[in-house]
Parts: sequence; structure tokens; C-alpha cells
Amino acid sequence: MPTPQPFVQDVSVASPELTSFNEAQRLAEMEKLSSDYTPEYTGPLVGDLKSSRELAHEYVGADPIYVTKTSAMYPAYTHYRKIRGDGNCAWRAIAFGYFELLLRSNSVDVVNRERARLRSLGNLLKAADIRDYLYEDFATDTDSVFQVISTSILEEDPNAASALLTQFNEASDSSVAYLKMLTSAWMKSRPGDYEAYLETSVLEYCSIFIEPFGVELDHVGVKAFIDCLVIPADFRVEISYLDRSPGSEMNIHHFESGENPYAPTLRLLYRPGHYDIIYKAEDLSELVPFLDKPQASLVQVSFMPHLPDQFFESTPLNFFLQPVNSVANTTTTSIRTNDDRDRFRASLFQYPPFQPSPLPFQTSIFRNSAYNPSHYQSENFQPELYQPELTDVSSRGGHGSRRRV
Amino acid sequence: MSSGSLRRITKELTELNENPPSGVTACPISDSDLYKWNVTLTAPKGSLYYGGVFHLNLTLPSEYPFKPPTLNFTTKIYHPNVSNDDKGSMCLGILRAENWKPSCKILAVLEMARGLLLEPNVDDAVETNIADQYKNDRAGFEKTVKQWIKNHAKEK
Repeated sequence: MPTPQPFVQDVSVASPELTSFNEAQRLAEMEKLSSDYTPEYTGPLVGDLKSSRELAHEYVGADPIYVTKTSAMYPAYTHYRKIRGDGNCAWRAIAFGYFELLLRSNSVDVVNRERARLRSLGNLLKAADIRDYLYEDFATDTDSVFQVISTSILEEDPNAASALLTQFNEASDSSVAYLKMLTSAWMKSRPGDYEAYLETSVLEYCSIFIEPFGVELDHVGVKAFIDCLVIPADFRVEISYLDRSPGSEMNIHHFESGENPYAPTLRLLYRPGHYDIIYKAEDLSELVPFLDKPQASLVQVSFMPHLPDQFFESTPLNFFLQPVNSVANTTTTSIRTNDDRDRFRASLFQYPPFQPSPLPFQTSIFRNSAYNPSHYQSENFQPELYQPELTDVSSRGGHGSRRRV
Repeated sequence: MSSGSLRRITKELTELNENPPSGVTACPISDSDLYKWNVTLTAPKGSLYYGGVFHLNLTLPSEYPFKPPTLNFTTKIYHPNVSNDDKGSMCLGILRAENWKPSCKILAVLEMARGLLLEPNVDDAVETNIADQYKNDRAGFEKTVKQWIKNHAKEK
């Protein structure tokens, strides 16, 4: 929380006797940050994974509501990915998130199933009498992303994530163009699902808001795109709205079929006019491939993205793994039991981020350092590991609530 | 990307040659540069511009088909939707980046341009004075159109 500012309303009327020149300049910068925020037009179409604290930094001097909300994002959302703000951000964010979940599924079957589904959606375009050369290049480029994903999975490529990013950035315009055509055809094939939300006909809506390249996607369009691409793949979408509405946390909107409570989630951050992708720690340390077997038996284990030892017969990380019940935890997550063991791949790519156990180190220097995962400044912050009886409560609380002044 | 756009342009060109639209001829200026086209429009019967032959340049951006072509009249024309300057640019509807669809074809652009010779779009005019005259003083408008056609758009 920033210290109370007497002149946040209008810098131009702040009288010089009340505030120093530096202060006025600082306020002017704050004001500018807050009112002039526009998404970047440079940089890659889809950016690298970054710590979400960088996101909070963008708002350090901005509107207090933004400051509160972005500060509250971390550590719940540990990472984010910036999408270029060129009008196609919603398309790119959702499409990339979808491909990323496919990669994380680590199942060639899932990838092939989706690949086939998208190909068959292409028949809607044929049925709509669109000349095939108008979309076949787009379809081929989109297909190349699927190809990269299944190759990565088959070859257990440790650099799969960056291969996907590179390929997607290469094929991004084509993919967006193709997915726009598919979404438009999708909406036209079931107008009843969307008409009620529109002031115009579905036909006219698609021609103005879906088909043109670089036009911002509104809420109905986002829903249609998610309905068409993401939900049938058995994924969920969660959009967090970062706006000036009252409250200290973002409003979250869910899109899901409701059929699979364990469906992997694609998370988006919405700032007025712009979408980025955000991640929870568990999204990035997803160890166990979700498989298209909803009936597989499940077992509850601790939140720590460590698997019970028996899952790792020969891993150098064993040293760090804690017995399941020794980790203090409140949250649990579900993983599958032995019947999926054969399909579990202990490749480098699948390992969780390095998570040192807090237990062997109990010096105050360690506890107060950023290497302690129970410390909020840790890259791998794990609030569940926070153990009040081992930590100086008052000093930690002081850090936590006053870190952005 | 650019090999994709070239492939796309080649296919569109083939289609245009197989099925030439009436009143329009369009082809690249040279075989070595498929991104610059010469276009000739003749106005449909019933149009105020009937009898005129209009030459245009069509330029495809390297990002085609993700960005729209640009269209410029090289023949002077008195029209609410064509800028009355040395550029003679026409920029409305699908020719605007925010309205352009990657599935639009060059043919659609040409047909739109020809359609505007039949019926100017005064609500989206670039020359508002000409649009006002079209709405309020049709006789004066027609007179200038005819005069300009006689001076600039008659094929010898």
C-alpha cells in the first residue's frame, strides 16, 4: 500500500509551497503511469514467462486500487506472459494458452485428438463456401504448432516450452486468422447460443467483431472463442479482471464445461482493453499428465509439487523430496495413482521448479532470505510452508504489508 | 510469412484471370513484383461516372493478407470517397485496417471500388464538401463529375 498522498487528484494544482518540486514531479509521473497505461506495441507477439512481481512494478506509482490488486496477485499468481497489444491480444493469449495446456498434457493422444477436431472444424468453412485457398495456408500454419507439440512430447524435448513459443510466434498471425474464421463459422452454426447477448444478428456481429483482423474481442466474442477452441478440449478458462472496481482483489470469471473438476486451467489477466496470460505456481509445476480418463482413481497428496518417492525411482531430486505427510500444508491437490505410472515421464521438462525444503535450514539468516520459500521474496514462494513458530512474526508481518512504499 | 502472401496473391491472380469481373481489369505491373497492381475501372451503366475510364494503383502490403491493400486513383475523379489530391486515395470499408479480414480478396476490393462509382457512400466520405454537394446540390455535383470525366477520364 502506498503512503497516503494528499495530491493524487490533480498534480497541476498542487501548490509549490505544499510540495517540493521533486514530489510534484514524482506525482506527475504517477499520474501519467496511471492514466496513460497502454499495452506495448513492440516486443514479441507472445512474450517469455516472467515473474508476476514485474507486473506489480508497472503499477507501483499508479492508482491505489491497481496497486492493491496487483500486489495481491502475487504470490497467488507467480508468473505472467505479456501479449503484444495490437488488437489481437485476446486471440493470441487464448490460442497460446490452449497450445501450452496441450503441451503440458504431455499426451500425444490429447494433441492428436485436438488436431483432428480443429481439422474437422475446418469443414465448417468448406460448408460456408469459402474458397479453400483463403484459409488453407492459415490451417497449415496452425497445424504446424500441433506438430511441434507432438514432436516435443514424443522426443521428450527438455526445451519443449521454448520450441512452442518460437513456433507459435512464427505462426501466430496465421493461427489467429484461422481461429477467427473458425470462431465465426462456429457462431454462425449455433446462433441461438449467442443471439441473446447481441444487439445485432450473429452474421453482422461476426462480420464486424470477429472476422476483421486486429479488432478487439469483446466479452461475447471471448466466450464464443473459448466455446469453440478451449472448452471442447476439456480445459477451463479463468479471466481475472484488473480494473478500478472496489475491492482489494480482482474479479474472476470462469468459463468451463463443468464436466471435469480437474480440467487444467488457462488463466488470463484482463486490464481494460488488453489480455495477458497469468500462471499459478501449480500450473507451471504440473507433474502428472492429466489424461483423458476422468474415471481414474485419485489420491490426495500435499500441495507441494513433489511426488511421493515411489514415483521417482532414479531422480537426483530425490534428496529434496519430503515424505508426503511431513510437509505442513492446508491445500491439497489431486494426482493420479499407480495405474498411470507407466505413462509418467520423469524428464527434465517435467520437474517442478527447484524447491528447497525449508526444514534443514533454520538459521535466521536463511529464514529472512529470498532463498527461503516461505519468504514472500522467494522466487518459489510457498505460503503453505510458512511456520509462525519458526519465524519472527512481527518483523515478517512488517515486511509484508509495507513493501511498496 | 511473405512466401505465404505470395502464394495467396498468385492464387488470387489466377482466379481473377479465370473469372474476370465485369468492368474491371487488374494485373501486377510486372511479373517480378506481385505487390503492385495496375487497375482499370469502367463505371457500370446508370452510374454518373459511366463513360469514364479510371486508372488506379493497388498496392499490397508485405503483411498481406493480414493488412489491407491500398487503393489510389491515378485518374482524377470527382467523388466523395476519393481524396481530392495527388494521391487520389480511397480508404473506407474493408480498406481500413480495423475492418480488413484476411479472408477478403482483392476481387472484393475491386468490386467495392466499382460499386462506389454507382453509389457513393456519403456517410463515410473523405471529401465532406463533395459529399454535401452530392446530398444538397445533385445537379451541380453531376455537372462537375461530367466535366472531370471529360477532362481526365476519356480514353482517346
